[in-house]
This record gives sequence, C-alpha cells and structure tokens, in this order.
Amino acid sequence: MNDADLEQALDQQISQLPKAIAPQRDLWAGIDNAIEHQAQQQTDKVKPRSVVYRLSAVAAGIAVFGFSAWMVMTNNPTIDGIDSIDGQGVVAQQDMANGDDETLNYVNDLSSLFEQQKQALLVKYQDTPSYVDNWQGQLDELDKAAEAIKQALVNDPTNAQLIKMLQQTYQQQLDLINTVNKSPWQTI
Amino acid sequence: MKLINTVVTVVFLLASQFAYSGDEIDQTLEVTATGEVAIENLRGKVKIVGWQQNKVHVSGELDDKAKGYEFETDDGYTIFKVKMPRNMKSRQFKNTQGSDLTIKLPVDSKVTFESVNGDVTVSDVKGGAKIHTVNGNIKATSLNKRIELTTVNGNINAKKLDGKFQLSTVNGRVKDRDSTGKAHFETVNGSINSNTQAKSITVENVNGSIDLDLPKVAELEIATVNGEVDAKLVLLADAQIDITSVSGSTDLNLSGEIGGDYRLNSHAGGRIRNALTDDAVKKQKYGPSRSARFSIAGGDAKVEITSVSGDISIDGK
Repeated sequence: MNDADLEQALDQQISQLPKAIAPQRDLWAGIDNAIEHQAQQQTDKVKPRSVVYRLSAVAAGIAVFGFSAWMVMTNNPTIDGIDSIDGQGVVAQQDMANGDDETLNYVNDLSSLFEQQKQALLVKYQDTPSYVDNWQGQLDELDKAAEAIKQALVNDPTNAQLIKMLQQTYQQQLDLINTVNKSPWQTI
Repeated sequence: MKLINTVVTVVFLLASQFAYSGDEIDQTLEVTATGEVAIENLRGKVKIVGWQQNKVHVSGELDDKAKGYEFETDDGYTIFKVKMPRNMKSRQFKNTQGSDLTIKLPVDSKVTFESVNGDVTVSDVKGGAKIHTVNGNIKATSLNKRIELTTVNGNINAKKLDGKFQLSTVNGRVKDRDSTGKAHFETVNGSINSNTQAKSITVENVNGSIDLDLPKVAELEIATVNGEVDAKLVLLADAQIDITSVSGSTDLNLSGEIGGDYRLNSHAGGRIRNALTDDAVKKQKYGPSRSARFSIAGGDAKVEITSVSGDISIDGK
C-alpha cells in the first residue's frame, strides 16, 4: 500500500467515527465549581491592590488640592520634598514600590501643578522690568532638565532620587522667576 | 548719656535735611557694642568695616541725586539711608555718580545692607551680616555668625567666613576661601569654587562648574543642572554624600573615612567609572541606565550619586 492509499484509508476510517464522545459522568457541575473558585481567588488578589490604589488616589487628590491652595496663598511658593509628601501619605515609599502607574500619575500631577504656579508668576511679573537679561534662557535650561528627568522616570518610575531631582528643578524655576523680577525696593 | 545721644541724633537729623547731593559726609554716632546697623544705598560703592569703637562713622560722598540722608540710632538699632527722589527714570541717572561711602561700625554688630547698583565690601563684622545687592559684586572677609551674601548680577568673593553662611548669585561666580561652619552655595549662571572647612555643605547650580576641595566633609549635598562637578573630598566618619546631576559629569576623588555604602546610578546614557573598588558596573537589561552598588569595609559613610545624561567617575586613595 502506498502513501496515497494509506491516507485515503485513514480518512475513510475517521469519517466513520462517532461525532461526539459522551463522558462517562456529568462534568458540568465540576466545571461550574472550578469557575466559581477561580473568580473568588482573583477577587481576593484584586481587593488589597484596589484599596491601596483608591487610598493613594484620594490622598494624591488631597495633596494636589492642598499644594494648589497653599501656593495660591503664598508669594514664594515651595514644592515640598518627597519626605514631607510621604508624611501626608500621598505616595509613600511602599506605595511607590507597589504601583508604577500611581508614581507616574503623581509626577504628572506635580508637573501640572508646577506649570500652573509658573504661569501665575509669569503673569504676575509680566509688566515688571527684570534685572537679569538672560533669565528666560536659564528657565529653558531648567525646563529641559525637568523633561530629561521625567524621561528617566519612565524607565525607573519608583526612583525617589529622580523625583527629588524633578522637584528641585521645578523649585529652582520658581525661585529664579521670583529672584529676577522682585523689586529690591520692596524690601527697602 | 542717653540724653546726649538723643540730642546728637536730633542735630544730625536736622543737618541731613540740608545736605546737598554729591556732597561729602563725615558723621559719627555713639551706638551700642552689639546692636544692629542697617544701611541702604541705591547705587554706588560702599565699604563696611568693623572696628573696636562703639560708634558708627560714615564718610565719603553721597549720590549726586541724593536728597539727604537718614542717620539715627535708637535702643541698639542704627540706620543709615541715602534718600533718593521717588519714581526716577533711568535716563535721569545718566552722567551722574552714585555714592562712594566708607562705614565703620562696632565689630560685634550685626549689619544689614541693601543696594541696587553698586559693589560692596564688608569685613570684620562678628555679629552677623545680611548683604543684598542686585547689580554689583560682593567681597566679604572675616564675617561671623549668620551670613547671607546675595547678588543678582555680580560675583561673590568670600574669605574667612565663620558661621552659618549662604552665598547666592544668579549671573556670577562664587569663590570662597578658608571658611568654616555650615555652607550653602547657589548660582544660576556661574561657577562655584570653594575650599571650605565647613563640615556641612549644600550646593545648587545651573550652568556652571562646581570645584570643591573639602578637607572635612560630614554632609555634602549637590544639585546641579548642566554643571560639571569636580570634587576632592576628605570624608569624616559616617559622612553623607548626596549628588544629583542632570546633563553634567561628576568626578569625585575621595580620601579619609571612605568605608561605607556606595550607590551610583546613571540614567539616559551616562557612563560610570568606579576606580575605588573592583565592583563591576551593571547595565540595565532593557534601557540606557547603569548602576554600581558596593560597600567598603570599615565605615558607615553613605555616598549616593544620581545622574541623568552625565558621566560619573569616582576614585580615591
């Protein structure tokens, strides 16, 4: 018998097999139980993370609001260091280790907050003559540095040193705008 | 004595109303040995010197545009202020000269100085000094206690400061020699050069080199953007070193109590050269980051350097 004949014989025998093979017992009850047990396990895994996420999100929202309110009330805004932010429970070290997305969300919130404050200062001083000619260039350098740090954070989002560096560059920008535009005769 | 001082003060106040601008001044007031002396001069050169007498002596020439001066003392607080017309336009200052003054005050006084355009030199004041100008250089020698030297466009040259001091400029260099205490240096567009013996030092800098030769470091914190750090450090026991840099290289030479933990991290392509130990530099599997973490026996120093787009090099004896 050659290969072609063998193949034809096999096809014929396969076509004669029963279309369905009935199990020796009812399997659906077991399948139902297995599905229910798996769902319970997934729920147990998700619960702790979602609580942490919700608390972090709420705390982050409070911190962002708190920062905004505090900065509006002061002429010389400061952006608190990561330690004090930890103290407010926004994104503590442990939470950062557990949630890269939360950290990047926090960084985005920080950047938005800083941008609002920077624009407010620039508007405040727009008609004030500055004592420094090249301060916008220095501001641009700090802005580029901030972007470089944010890019590094994408690859290493839980790096507390990088976040501290980002806060420092933001604070330096705000300090620079205030220093070069504030009239010295306000203090004399 | 108090009555005499009051009478003298009244006489000087009356006299000051009739002083003509550009005129010479040579006035003295009896003051307390450890009081505060506040000096305000819009433009011109001012030299401030501590001396052993319980008097404030002002000599020199007032600004050509000055409308007199205020010079009085009360209960340990003395003020000397050159009065200028309000709302003057810059063209009105053309072809006129600012003040040229020498002010002597008791060596244990605290002095505050405010100016806009002009250089200031201050020396031998042991009670503290707060010196602010906008366009001008500051030269300071032998000042004690809390010291704040701030200019916007100008250099700061300091020598033998002893206390908690802060040297800050936007466009200008900071040069510090033979100081002790607790140091803070800050520039936006300019270099920083110091051999301070202060044990606690912080440095902030954008666009400028940082050159440090520090013989006794307990705490050092550097934050720089676009700046090269070149530091030779002799570490004290349990020293804490924290350096962050964006777009600039960091070159450290360490000696002294170098035992402890080291964490060197570079992001976005910066290289790490570790010549302190044989520990290898690790490269991130996916991404441009590198790191070197190692310990040296015999100490509890903590050295952490983080760089974004800048090389890190560390060696020592």
